[in-house]
Amino acid sequence: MHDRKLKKRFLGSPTALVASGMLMVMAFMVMAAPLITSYDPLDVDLKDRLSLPGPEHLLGTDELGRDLFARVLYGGQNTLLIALTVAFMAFAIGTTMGLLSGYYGGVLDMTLMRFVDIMLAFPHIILALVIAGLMGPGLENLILALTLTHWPAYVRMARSGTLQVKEMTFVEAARSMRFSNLWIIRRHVLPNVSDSLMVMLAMDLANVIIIASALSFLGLGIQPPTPEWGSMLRAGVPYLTTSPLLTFVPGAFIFLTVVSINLLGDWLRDVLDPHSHEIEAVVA
Amino acid sequence: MSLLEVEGLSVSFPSSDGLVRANDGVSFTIAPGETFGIVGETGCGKTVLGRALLRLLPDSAMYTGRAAFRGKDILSMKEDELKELRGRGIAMVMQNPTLSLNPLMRVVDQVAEAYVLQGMDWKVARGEAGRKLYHVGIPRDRVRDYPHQFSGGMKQRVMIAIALALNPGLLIADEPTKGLDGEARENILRLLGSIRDHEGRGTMLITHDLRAAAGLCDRLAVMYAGELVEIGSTLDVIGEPRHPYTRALLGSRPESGFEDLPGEGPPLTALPRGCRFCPRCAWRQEDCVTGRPEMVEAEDRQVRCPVVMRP
Amino acid sequence: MIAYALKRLVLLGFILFGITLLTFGLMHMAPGDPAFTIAEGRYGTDLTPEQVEQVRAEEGFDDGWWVQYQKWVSHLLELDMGRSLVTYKSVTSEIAARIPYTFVLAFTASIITFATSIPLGIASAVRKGRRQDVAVRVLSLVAASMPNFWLGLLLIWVFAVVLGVLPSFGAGGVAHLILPAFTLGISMAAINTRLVRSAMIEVLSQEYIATARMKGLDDWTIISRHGLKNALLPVLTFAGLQLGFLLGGAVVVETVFSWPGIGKLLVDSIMVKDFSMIQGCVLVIGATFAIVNIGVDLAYAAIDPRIRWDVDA
Repeated sequence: MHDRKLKKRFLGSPTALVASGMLMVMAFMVMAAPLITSYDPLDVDLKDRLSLPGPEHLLGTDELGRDLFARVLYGGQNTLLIALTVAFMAFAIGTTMGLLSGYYGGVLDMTLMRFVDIMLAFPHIILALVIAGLMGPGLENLILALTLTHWPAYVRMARSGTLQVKEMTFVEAARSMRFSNLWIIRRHVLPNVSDSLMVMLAMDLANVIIIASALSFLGLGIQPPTPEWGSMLRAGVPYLTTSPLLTFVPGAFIFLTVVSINLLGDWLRDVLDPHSHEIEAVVA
Repeated sequence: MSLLEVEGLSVSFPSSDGLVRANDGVSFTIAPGETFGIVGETGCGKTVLGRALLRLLPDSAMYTGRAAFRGKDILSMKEDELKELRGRGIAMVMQNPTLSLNPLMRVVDQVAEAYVLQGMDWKVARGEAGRKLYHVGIPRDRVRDYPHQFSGGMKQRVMIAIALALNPGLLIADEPTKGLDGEARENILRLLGSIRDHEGRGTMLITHDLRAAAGLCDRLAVMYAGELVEIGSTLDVIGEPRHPYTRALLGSRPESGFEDLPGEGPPLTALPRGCRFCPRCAWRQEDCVTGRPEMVEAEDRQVRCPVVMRP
Repeated sequence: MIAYALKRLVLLGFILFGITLLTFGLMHMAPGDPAFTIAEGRYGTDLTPEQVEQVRAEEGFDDGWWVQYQKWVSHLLELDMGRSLVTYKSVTSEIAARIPYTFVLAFTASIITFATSIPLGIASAVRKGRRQDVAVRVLSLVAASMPNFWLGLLLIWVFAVVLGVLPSFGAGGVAHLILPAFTLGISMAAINTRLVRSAMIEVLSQEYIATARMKGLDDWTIISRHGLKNALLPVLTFAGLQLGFLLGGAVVVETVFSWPGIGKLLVDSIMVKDFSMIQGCVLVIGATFAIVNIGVDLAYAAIDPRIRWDVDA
């Protein structure tokens, strides 16, 4: 798919425009948090706890009197940082391994694929939960645990794409002309698998946001007082009866981000990978 | 009264490349007991014609003209009238039996379903279905098999059994020999010949195989780029073809169908203004490219070519 | 069929072996000295190095990992997964006590999922592009994008806090089951509806559906007799993923609702670093997942007559 054609399809799709608009607003609000709010997300004010939304505090304050709006904006920085890092690291590691494994085959391929089989034999979130639990809470450990459990899915995808391309005549021809293997992988194999991998990455990003915030919600992510959407939700649970906004707001931010990414992912799949069976993409 | 009367039938679909004009001003009739053949190259619109008569085309299909079965107009039928028309009125041996049979249903059940529709209970219907399958050449011990256990020719027999079990007034066979090799093809043609009903049921054979059509049909219509270019008795059309396209076909070794004719028909999205066959025609005149030729009728024969029909 | 089943069973054996290796390895890669942790549990925080060494010898931590693994597996085969480092209860009996809760929750959630997603998916596919379809797609997108812990909290707020009609946590009667089961069921139904819809759309475009229409069957018969089974086959191939979603979701949902299932047990054990309990939970969840997955493969072969013939697939 040529970039120009992609752009044209993008501008012609209301769904893609709305979804990316929502994402951009969200990303801007999160990134430019210091410009939007003058409150420090860590500023405790015990005299003004659990206050309702008002002119002073746009969304009210939390159990320690911290400004909820500031916390949810700054919290987004951490959530999105985790999600983006995990998705791209898993994508990079998984794709590289999958390409090499599929292209060279042999014992390496056998071993790797059996390992992937076993990794995927666990429900994803449970493995991540256990690894994060063993390593202890914290931003780096959360990222590591999620990445460790996340790359095998990309290996499968990249490998199966590579196996298909490998048999095609232009790859055979390039091989017979003694082009270096790495050059062939980069020039011929990668472009042929990149579309479906991009779609997978887009869909996966939404998934990572949900799993990462679920782990934080369970108490395994970033520790208080640092704001993060999942852990803010966790902190808000005891106040559900009196101050439901403490759980509504961070959840709504996760939800809106995930909806926009899913919409964009659906659109991207329709454009880049129209022949893929929709059913496979739904769960990718 | 004719069984089927088609008058100026046009069918078109919107597509990303523009309007596909799959059928354009098609007119013919089929009498009870008659076997009528529609022959033409792949992609000329003959399958669309068959499906249009059962209204099996996608909802986006647009129809004009008239197609009446036993006097009732098919094109204006409502859902419940269509249910009456399909099966009991017109049944079709679908193209590509591999895709047209339900992979998860035993073949006997797929035939029995036709009898259930006629009011039998499943147990009796399965018995009938077994007999019908035997009649078309499926051994009794194979009727409880699934379609994938059958060869292409046997699947086509099952398809024929389904169509016959529906006991239709008109049987449409859409490319029944496509994809079959020599012997299987002969067997299917022989079967189609043996099931003809010269009294009541009409048959419409849609094929690219001119020889098959010649062997089975009473009358033939030749289709090119969505329109009929020649209609006449089989003897006349084969023995003395008039339209340049028919002549080209017969000159191009009919044994192998139409595959040998050089060039290909125009795309149905961008039809030429004048005669559609003109670019490939050996009898081409200067005025052929300007106006679309009309069907001319003479001596029980209709031909869409003013050049060859000039006295 | 038998050859196929045997092949699947060999694969299951391999995966179960892998699961034990991974579970065992995970616990031994954990930071910290397990002997120290256990000793701390037994003797309190005022530990002498001798006490730690004693525990190390007793638990066999001095042996090579392969010896330890063999010992561990041989205990495992007698359904002995050791004792909790925190409560000293038998891991096996603790897990056995929790499994029924998770089973009931997962089973109810699955029923909710199927009861909603199959009719909605079919209705959406049949009316593709029309208003009902758009409504179902928007609904499923929204539900699929909701983190289930948030959805659970929203449901608690509405039904327990505002309306006060349902209990918000713990286990008891049927009332306690409703909110967690719906939380889990709604998330799953969202994904499943999309699967059923796209599978049904694909099936409805198939030639055998045209054959069924040609016969003069009514729409209901076409969909139920010719469409449904064919559409559910591809959905079934994703049953494994769905089950993973169910088990993973159960961990979160059980925690939100304090539902005393194995997922809650796992999370609680992680919080107190009860390694032997974590090990037991992971093993049981992983093994369940693997066994059900192979079961799904076999069910698939039983439904689809074509599978039996290409044994090599």
